Amino acid sequence: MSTSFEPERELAVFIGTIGRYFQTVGGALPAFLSPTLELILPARLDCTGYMPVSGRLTGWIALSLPSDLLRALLRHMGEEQHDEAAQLDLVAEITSTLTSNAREHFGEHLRVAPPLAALAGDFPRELAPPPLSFRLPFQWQGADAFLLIALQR
Amino acid sequence: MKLLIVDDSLIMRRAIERSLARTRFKEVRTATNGRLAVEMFDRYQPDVVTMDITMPDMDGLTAVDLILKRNPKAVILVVSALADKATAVEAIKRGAQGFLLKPITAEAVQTALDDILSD
Repeated sequence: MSTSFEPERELAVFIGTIGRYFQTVGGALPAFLSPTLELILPARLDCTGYMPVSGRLTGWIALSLPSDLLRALLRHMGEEQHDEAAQLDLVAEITSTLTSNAREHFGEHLRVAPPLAALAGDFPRELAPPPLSFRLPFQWQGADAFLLIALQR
Repeated sequence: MKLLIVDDSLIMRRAIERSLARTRFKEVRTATNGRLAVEMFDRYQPDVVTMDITMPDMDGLTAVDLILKRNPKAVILVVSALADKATAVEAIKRGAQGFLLKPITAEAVQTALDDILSD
């Protein structure tokens, strides 16, 4: 287990957890692209799940997904409800699971709360925009998505 | 048999419910947090409870405690992500019977429920 959280070095953990989630639930691995350091909050896709993080590190981890990808996942799961409510519910659940599974690696440095979900133009009032963030883009079944890690000591 | 599914995610509750086709569970109720789970347990007296851990209002571990106080023989399957593992282990120490790791598949749910009922 790491003794400190270094997003630029620990992205491999998130790559592993995202890959495992999409393989298990969606039947196919995503393709990961090069991570970037973002100095302003990037525009989010249709639905974003946010996991508030506290402890020695504070901030949040977000997963931003387009509607097409969420509908495809819902279909794959056998879910008949594909509307906005279902998409927001699913993105929150995926973000919670990914972050929680990554936290097993990072230990007490990530203490998480129940997830929040928001549409593209919205940002949860409970959270603060970060001074910088790490963006990990990936593609799944032709759709672009990304993970955003916005943590600070 | 009766099953109570406890998870704050509607999609997760439905995913677990869909996976019951080949199981003995014919009656299903759901709850969205630990507090409602305890209320539903009192009212519904399920044979098995599937319990998420990280939920608003009342978490799953607290709900496990309260349910086992009401009925020490209650059968509870904790369904959670890895970060909740220590909590899930604690839940099992306190009397929950099993742990299923998220993300789940229908097959994993069926196997976990079969295992918990055969114990």
